[in-house]
Amino acid sequence: MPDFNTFSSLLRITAKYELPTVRSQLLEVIHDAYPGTFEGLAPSKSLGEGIFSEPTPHPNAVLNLFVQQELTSALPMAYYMAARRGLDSLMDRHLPQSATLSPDILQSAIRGFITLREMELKETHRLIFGPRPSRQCSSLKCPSLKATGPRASEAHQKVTDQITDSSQPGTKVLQVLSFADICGGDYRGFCESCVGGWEAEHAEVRKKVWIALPDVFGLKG
Amino acid sequence: MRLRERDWEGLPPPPAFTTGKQKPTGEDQKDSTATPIAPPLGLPKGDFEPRIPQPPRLEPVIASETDSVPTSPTTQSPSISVSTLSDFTIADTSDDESLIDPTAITPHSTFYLDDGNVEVLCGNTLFRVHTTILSFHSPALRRMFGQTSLSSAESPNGCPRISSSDTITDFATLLKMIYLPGYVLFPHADELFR
Repeated sequence: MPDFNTFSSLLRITAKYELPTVRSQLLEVIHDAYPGTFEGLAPSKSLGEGIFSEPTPHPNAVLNLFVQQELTSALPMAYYMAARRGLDSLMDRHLPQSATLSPDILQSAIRGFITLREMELKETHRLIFGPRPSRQCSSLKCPSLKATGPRASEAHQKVTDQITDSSQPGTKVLQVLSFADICGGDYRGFCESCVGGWEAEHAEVRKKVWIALPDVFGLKG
Repeated sequence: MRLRERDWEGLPPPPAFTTGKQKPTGEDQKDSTATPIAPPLGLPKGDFEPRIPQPPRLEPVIASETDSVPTSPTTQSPSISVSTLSDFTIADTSDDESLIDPTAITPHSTFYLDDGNVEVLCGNTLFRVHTTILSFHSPALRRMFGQTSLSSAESPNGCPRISSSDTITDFATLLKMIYLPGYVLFPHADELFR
């Protein structure tokens, strides 16, 4: 894989000089790294700007290129990759011109980031505190058995805080979570049934967020 | 405890990125990947010295208005377009040459090919290439060379000179793609011949 500057040049000239064979190769790479479908987010895949050779481009630069080249199907993912770093990264004034977002793109990215962060908080709260699907706890000590008690509430809140991580500047809403890591070796007292259930339900949250991405970044209509 | 990032194994974590210093204006116009043309396969590396074209005695040429590559105001006069065709124009050499610093125009280190039959000016870098080879690969270039009356263009170095709005890097990348087989799939192939 070439570096991003070379890749950008290739993308521009293959469009301008009508070189469809090479361009289709480039687009194939893009669509693999910036998938247009949820199935494309396979955990084992290399995605986003990490596919380019060093130096790794800033996601804003990738977003700018995709907007310029009208790579519609890759735009939701490109917006997400830029937004996941948070507002400081989106609005960084020290970036080179190629990574500086135009006012329109910046507005969409900021609005999208805020929406994603809200979704992350809301969906995580619903996941941990919301109505439980029909499953039985595999341990009598599981805090979920007494979800209304103060200690149980505290345990749930800690898991929620761990997921939403208020100290992070961006969002990890599309990230596959390992609740074993989140809860620690003892699962914070939660039973395996609850933890496994959260993981399965979080996969649904990711899918829900993914479907919403085009709307979130104002890419529909 | 931090969340374990196990989605997308290749996804770089946010803190890993360093923005670095901002490039000075115009830096992206430089072709940092410029390398000598590869020797023919089969020749020992040491036996083949990449042909380093002797810079021709360049006559000053004024870039067209459509050429977006920024040029130093101290070395080039205001752009004048003789005829406009898409992004390419026939370079005009009829202006007052006393206003122009001829040293501002330099041949590209790799793609000023002595036996080329057309010169393409990107910014202040001059490429000399073959219309037949470029036309063979690109319908757009074929149309461009076909429509443009190259014979009416100024020929300060013995062949027609036209201007392009491409950046130096973009045009050099185009030429690498055309002249260096396998460049796209193996973009560092040219490094093998250094």
